[in-house]
Amino acid sequence: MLYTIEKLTKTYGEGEAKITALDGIDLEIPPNKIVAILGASGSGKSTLLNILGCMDLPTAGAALFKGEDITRLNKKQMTEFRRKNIGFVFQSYNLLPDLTALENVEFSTELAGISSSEARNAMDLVGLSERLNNFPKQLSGGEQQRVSIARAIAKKPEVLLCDEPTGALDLNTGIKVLDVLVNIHKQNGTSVLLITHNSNIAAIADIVISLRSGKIANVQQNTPIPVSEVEW
Amino acid sequence: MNKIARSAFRKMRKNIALLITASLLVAVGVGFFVTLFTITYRFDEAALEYFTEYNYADLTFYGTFDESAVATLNNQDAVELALGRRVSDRRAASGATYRIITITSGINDLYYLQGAAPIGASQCAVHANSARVMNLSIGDTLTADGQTLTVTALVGSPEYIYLSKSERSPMTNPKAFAPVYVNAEFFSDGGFNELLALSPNPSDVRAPSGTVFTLKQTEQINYELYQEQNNKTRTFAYIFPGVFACLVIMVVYVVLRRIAVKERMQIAVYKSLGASPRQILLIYLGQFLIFFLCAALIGALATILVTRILILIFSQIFTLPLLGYTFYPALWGYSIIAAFVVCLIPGICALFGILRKRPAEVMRPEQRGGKIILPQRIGFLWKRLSFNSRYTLKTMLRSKGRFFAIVLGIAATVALLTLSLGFYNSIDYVQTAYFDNFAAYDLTLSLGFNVQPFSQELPFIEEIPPDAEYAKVLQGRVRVNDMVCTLTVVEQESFNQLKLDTQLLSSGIIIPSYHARLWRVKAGDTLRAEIPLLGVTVYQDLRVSAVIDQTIAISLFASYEYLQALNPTAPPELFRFYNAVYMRTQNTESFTEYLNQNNITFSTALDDQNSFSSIMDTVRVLIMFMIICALILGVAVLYSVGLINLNSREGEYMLMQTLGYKHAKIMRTHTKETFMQILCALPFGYLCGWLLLHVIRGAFSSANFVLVAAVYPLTYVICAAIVAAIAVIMGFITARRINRLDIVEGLKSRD
Ligand SMILES: Nc1ncnc2c1ncn2[C@@H]1O[C@H](COP(=O)(O)OP(=O)(O)O)[C@@H](O)[C@H]1O
Ligand SMILES: [Mg+2]
Repeated sequence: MLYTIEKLTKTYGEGEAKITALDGIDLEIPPNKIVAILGASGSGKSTLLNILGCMDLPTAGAALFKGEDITRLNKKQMTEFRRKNIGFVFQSYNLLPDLTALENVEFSTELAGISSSEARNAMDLVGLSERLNNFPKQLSGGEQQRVSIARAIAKKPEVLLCDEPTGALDLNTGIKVLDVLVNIHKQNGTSVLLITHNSNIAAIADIVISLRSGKIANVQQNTPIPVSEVEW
Repeated sequence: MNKIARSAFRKMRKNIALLITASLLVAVGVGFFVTLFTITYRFDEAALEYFTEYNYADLTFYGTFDESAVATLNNQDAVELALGRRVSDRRAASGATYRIITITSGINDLYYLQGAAPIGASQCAVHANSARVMNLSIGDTLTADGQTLTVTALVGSPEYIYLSKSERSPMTNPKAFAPVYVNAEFFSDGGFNELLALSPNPSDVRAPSGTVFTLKQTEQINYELYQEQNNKTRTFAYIFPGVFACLVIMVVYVVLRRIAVKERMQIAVYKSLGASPRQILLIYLGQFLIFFLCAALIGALATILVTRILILIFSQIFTLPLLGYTFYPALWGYSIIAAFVVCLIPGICALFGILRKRPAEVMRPEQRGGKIILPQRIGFLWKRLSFNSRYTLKTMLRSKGRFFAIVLGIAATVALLTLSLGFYNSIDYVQTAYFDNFAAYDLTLSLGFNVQPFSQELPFIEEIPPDAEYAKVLQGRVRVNDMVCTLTVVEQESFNQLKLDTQLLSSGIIIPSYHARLWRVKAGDTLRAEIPLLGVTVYQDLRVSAVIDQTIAISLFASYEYLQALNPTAPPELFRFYNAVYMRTQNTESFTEYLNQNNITFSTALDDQNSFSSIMDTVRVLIMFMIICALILGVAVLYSVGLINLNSREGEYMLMQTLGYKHAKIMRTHTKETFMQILCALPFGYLCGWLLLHVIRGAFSSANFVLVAAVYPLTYVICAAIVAAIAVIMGFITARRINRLDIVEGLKSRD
């Protein structure tokens, strides 16, 4: 298993204001799949993804990554883990504004200790080899998101964690981005966890996990449809 | 280039103005520190080297001696070498005093700056500083007492680093006083009035017969002044860089706090990509580190020049030929370390909170509600304010951290200005306190060691102006609690040439508050004093009847009557001797002419004022240096204040622009904010300046001179005016930036 999640609970705040974002989740995620996490806004999707990406720690429970409990890591090990194993793609792209597109990707490969030629390859892969030296604000939303994907995959991580990667994009650019994600999955065999609140997008996944109020509502094996058929 | 370094570099551009201002502070702080410490170190080394190489006498005996006294002294085991000399003050036609001194080779050796040793009875060497001011050069002649001497050399001497004519005139104006060195043949009669001795253990040396008073090297005014000078410079050297460092720390902290809020998301992304806290710190602190390092180096390099200039200025004030620029790598090292520290400490403090958070926590935007500010709670006050003022107050206090930082920055400027200008006031105050409120004499005459019995009238009694009121006093150095100080003995009933409550003298002595603090005594306590009287040393317990504040010409006061009452069995004549006269007269001019012609040592109240003024010359140089730095600080601080205010209001101003507000209106809002901050900072700055002045006052007070901290009301006004003026000028500069605000770009980046 890629991830084995046991009784994972995350609460925020205390007393009256206490919010249970994840409520004792048990889950197994196999490797080399595209897994969609589907749920309404506020259902706990991001919280789950953050814990799986070692961006946060749960209040209780465990999350094993290839058998190793990542909720027991100290800060330094968490940093190390993110650096090596995880590629993040955020809804709001979050490129570093001080660096060009290529430098954004290289920042990630340098941290991971990987040759910078991988950065150029990744930019090729997302179809942006023409825009290497542009700063983020000179790029469109879709292009920025593709750079963001390039940054996430250049270091060849085990898992790609995408938190609503198309949330801020229109249909056409969104499809292009999803296409890139699926292609990378096919080429490199990278596991992809894809958060969405849109069931149409979830249709491209091998497995669809539905969350409701911090609990697993449903886990469904799926026959993925081609990206070109997605509509929203 | 490494991407972390590249990110750090790119971030520089956004903060360039603030970086440059903070760096300016670093450079000036380092410059100040390195300059003054270089001078302190070098001054100390140079003086000690001078004292040893040129055999500064360990002991000086004053009295009347012959060759046999020199021989007995030389026979003592504790004495390495003893020499006798004649020292005699002569009046020049110009009114200046020439102190004619026999050249002694082996003790108090001369440093020849120019020329060669005088030969025979009609040649002399002149102290270089006096020669320069008196326009004397080699080959010129000078006439003292009808005898003509040709100058063959310009010299310095370890006993005259400072030109101290007497303890009453510790730093004499070189125009009025010149040590002149002659060969023994100049004095036709034999005998000595001073003996010099070199000794590793001065305390073991017994005074030869004929000694009236003995001074150790460390008790000489010249030596005391050297020590005081170093304390003063050292104190200055700490204060300014200290204040500057605090400000730089604040600027870095405020800037980084703002960045931490503004670039929260970026920091979260760095973290999510697996950058360690140290790498993130480097991205944000790199800009400061690089700038500060350069600034520290520039500041240190500048000291090479500034130190030379200061030494040049100082060399007009005192003569220490070995004092020259020296490179102290350690000082540069400390400065560079300090530049690191003022960057790292506030940097870590500002970013610590966000760096230790987990990335998911950082990524979630912080909820910021409209806080209720303090003035809002004071209802009746709040209601009276106009909407505009309320708005300004509210936005100003919304972020307390920034507000306090800004107020502190302005307060520091105000404080340093108050300190520097207050220093001028204090010097002036000290002068007024003495010459207007204490001294009531026009003239003092000194017979030196020629102590006369009261029965013997002044030889020039006929010449004394008819309106003159004069008092005979005994004035000399005594040793109390192992410390040499001046004692003035006056006639209790008639003495009124100083505003002194002479009634108090019937039951004891009056002592200066400086000494009272030092010896921890108060009125009613007793002190043991060692008083040289007519060649014998008397030990006497003296009761302190009062402690008074004295600033210059500090002395213990006793009355003849009291001393006599202490020794009822001794014959009364024993206590009736005098060696000085205090005189009040309207006709100083004709009388001083007579005194000049007859070679009688005197000093007018004006001479005393000039002497005091000379002591303060080095301090004035330092104060000028300080004022320049305070102004640089003011410009730097108010410029950054303008920028910080502008940056944090950018959005609002742009909104105002889009809403069609006139530029002038926006400027007014902007200026109003700065002035409110100045208003808040003023009282605090005044207080700090005043406190600083009181703190360093101690370093400037000694047995010769006590600095009283005084800040005149006008100074407060001037400080406020200077700060306001700088703020207005800086306002014009920031105004140009408001014009350039790019509305479209700005609104887009705010999303
Ligand atoms: N740092 C936080 N502090 C308090 N509440 C939080 C925090 N993060 C998330 N929450 C709450 O936890 C719940 C789940 O949030 P999240 O995982 O972001 O949901 P989703 O991504 O599915 O929209 C929400 O109710 C949200 O308000
Ligand atoms: Mg979410």
